Amino acid sequence: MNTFKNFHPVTLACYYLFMFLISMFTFNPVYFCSGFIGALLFVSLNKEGKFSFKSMIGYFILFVLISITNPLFSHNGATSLFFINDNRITLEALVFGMCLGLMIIEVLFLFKSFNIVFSSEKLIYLFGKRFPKLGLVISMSLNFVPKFVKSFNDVYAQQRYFSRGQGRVRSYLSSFSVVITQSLENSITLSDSMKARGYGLKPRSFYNNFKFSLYDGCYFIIMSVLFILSALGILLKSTEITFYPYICISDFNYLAVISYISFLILSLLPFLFQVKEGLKWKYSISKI
Amino acid sequence: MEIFNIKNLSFTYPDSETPALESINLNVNPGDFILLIGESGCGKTTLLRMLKKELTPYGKTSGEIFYKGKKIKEINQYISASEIGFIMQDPDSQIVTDKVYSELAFGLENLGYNNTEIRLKVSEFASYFGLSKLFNKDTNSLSGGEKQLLNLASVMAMNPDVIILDEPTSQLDPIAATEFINTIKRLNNDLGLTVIIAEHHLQELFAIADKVAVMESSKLIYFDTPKDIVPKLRNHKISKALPASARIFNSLSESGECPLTVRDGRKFLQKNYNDIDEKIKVDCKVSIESVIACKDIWFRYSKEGADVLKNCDFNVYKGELYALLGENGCGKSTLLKCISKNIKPYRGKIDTFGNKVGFLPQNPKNLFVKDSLEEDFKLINYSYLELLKMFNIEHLLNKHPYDLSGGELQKAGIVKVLLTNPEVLLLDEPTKGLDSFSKEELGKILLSLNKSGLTIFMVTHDVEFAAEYANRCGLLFDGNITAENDSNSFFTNNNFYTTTSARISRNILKNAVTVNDVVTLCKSNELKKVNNND
Repeated sequence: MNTFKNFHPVTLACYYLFMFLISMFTFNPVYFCSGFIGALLFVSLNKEGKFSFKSMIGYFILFVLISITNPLFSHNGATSLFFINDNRITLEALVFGMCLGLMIIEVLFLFKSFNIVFSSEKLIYLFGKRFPKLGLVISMSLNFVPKFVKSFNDVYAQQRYFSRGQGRVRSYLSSFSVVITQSLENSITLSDSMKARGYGLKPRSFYNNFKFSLYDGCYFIIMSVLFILSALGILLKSTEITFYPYICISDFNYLAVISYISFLILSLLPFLFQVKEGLKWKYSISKI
Repeated sequence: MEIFNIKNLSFTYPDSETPALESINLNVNPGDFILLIGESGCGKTTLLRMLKKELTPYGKTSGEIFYKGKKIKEINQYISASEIGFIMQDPDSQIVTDKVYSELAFGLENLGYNNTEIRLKVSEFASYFGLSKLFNKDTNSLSGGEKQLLNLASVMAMNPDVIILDEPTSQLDPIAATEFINTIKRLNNDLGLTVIIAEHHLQELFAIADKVAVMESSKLIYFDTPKDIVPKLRNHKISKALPASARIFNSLSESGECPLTVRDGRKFLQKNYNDIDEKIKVDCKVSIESVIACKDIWFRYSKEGADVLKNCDFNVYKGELYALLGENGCGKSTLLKCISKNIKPYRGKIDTFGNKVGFLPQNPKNLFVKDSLEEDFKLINYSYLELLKMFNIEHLLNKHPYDLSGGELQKAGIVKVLLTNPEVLLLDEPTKGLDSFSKEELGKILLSLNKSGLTIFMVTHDVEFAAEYANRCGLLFDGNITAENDSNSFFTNNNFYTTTSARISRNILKNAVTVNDVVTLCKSNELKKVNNND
């Protein structure tokens, strides 16, 4: 089945750039809500997201904590709700706190969805296309780290056997030094292997499996249009909200509605795309 | 024109008095399959590295090497990088990138090919080497054999004329090693690729190679076809490394054509040593006191994972040398970890009856933390001198552990484990990466330790080693021990999973398992044969 992940890395990178840009440069709960819902639906649709209602409780607690913390420290705002130890708790600060919480959770979920979509090879592609050496360094580190962790665990198991009675920290340290020494030894072989295959003779080219298709182009245009529409609303301040001293929402206008709706569609795009492809798959299967 | 023409080559490392290579002359023709053999440290690696410009060691050189008629120092860098492929011993540390496809493309990227060209070559070689299923995988998730195959494929993607391999299968299990060697043979046959390979594991290679070069202490002593070289090595130290059929042939002092494969070995025995009724006497005394008892143990690594050990049930008795065999990934090492209490089975019980268990891991390097062996031994116990004498490695006391050869490291590792005074010694693949001399030495040490009362339990792929030294053998399959017997009966009863000598002598001799067994039985018939001829 075709999924959102199968888009070209550049298209995907632009999508997340758009999403993060808007989340960064506004402070409007409507945007946060739509971004959050879009990312949440997409994450729950993918197995890699490891989504569960249990994990949502954690996020809810985080949201509540942030919402409460803001009014405890910030006493701006005109509407007093009550006093704690002579400290004024205001409605405006509470709402601001809730918005802040919503934003943080939205960004966390955007990152979750980003993680699902961006596998290491897509990241390497994005960097490696322009800077092949940087791409190689990332790829080499991704190869090195799991190896290092594995040999550390092997060595540590041995050290624990020999240093019974010794402190845990000491065997950690000695294992660490052993693994470092071994890695340095292995790096000699690695550099030989690189040299033997002509590393450094010419400027490197960059091999990748990705192709920018018409399909990618179409979706890229759709995303860009949605982004520009939502951004217009923000730039022209038609969706602005001020919190202090009073909560003040700008008057109803068509541009704001268009901006909200386009951002909602933009947020839901990965989810909608995946649902659409899912239905298409099911439908074509039933035809066969 | 020759691919390589080595003329009177000598080489000395900067800090050494004795030369590492001494007046070597060698011609390699296109399409040749050349096998280089010799004891560890005889200069094989140095010679091979001299053939690859980028890897030539620094030191004093005299003589010349010509590659396709040109001096090797003067050939173009691109030609050297792409036309001469080089593969080293350790499959792991040669891999540069994190994905199989990017590793395949690595050399081509270095040479600046564009994306379309790379895509074509990479897909071509991935399908030729059967790597298409692994194409998008992480290189870390591959097995040792797959990794070495990937190294070979990524060198082959650069389309070399000659490929140089420095002990490529020493870190692989026997099945993966055979597969790797068959792939090289296929490349040699299909593409006319010139192959120069140094190796300890000679069973298959000897039958494939066109020419064998034998090195001894920096000199090339013989260079001939495999069949002609066997009689020449009759009384040579290296004859122990030869394939079983050639060793049998040599030990019986036969003349005529030497058998190199199992098939030829059988023909040879059938022709010359038919109807022998004699049997090898086996005395396998097993004490009844067990030192390790595993009762129905079950183990898996993760909650959802598959069971690695299923209902595994066995005993190791006091004073025996037990070898547990089994293919890759069947749970042998897991079982060892369970016994040494590194991990805990989720069901069942392991009892060591209060005996102290010493565990030598697969890679003895992991044991050493200090800059010299002495400092390391002192961490545990000061009574190391006696053991060092027994193992004959006193001269290594001040060396850095990483400067030791595979065999020395293995011995030093055993010493370190023995310093903790264990009653049971667990060994994980003790013969991995060892040449036949070190193997023999290790085997003798294990036997003498065993005689002095130490119980030894080892896990190994090496059927020949197990047949030679173990009292009892077991086969681990599908998570439990499916066959268990004294080693002679074990290998006589098995048809495939057995030693080469047993396969050669099946149905001809009664219960010969090792080369020595075959020779003993054949010699017992010597008189009869003479009588018959009269």
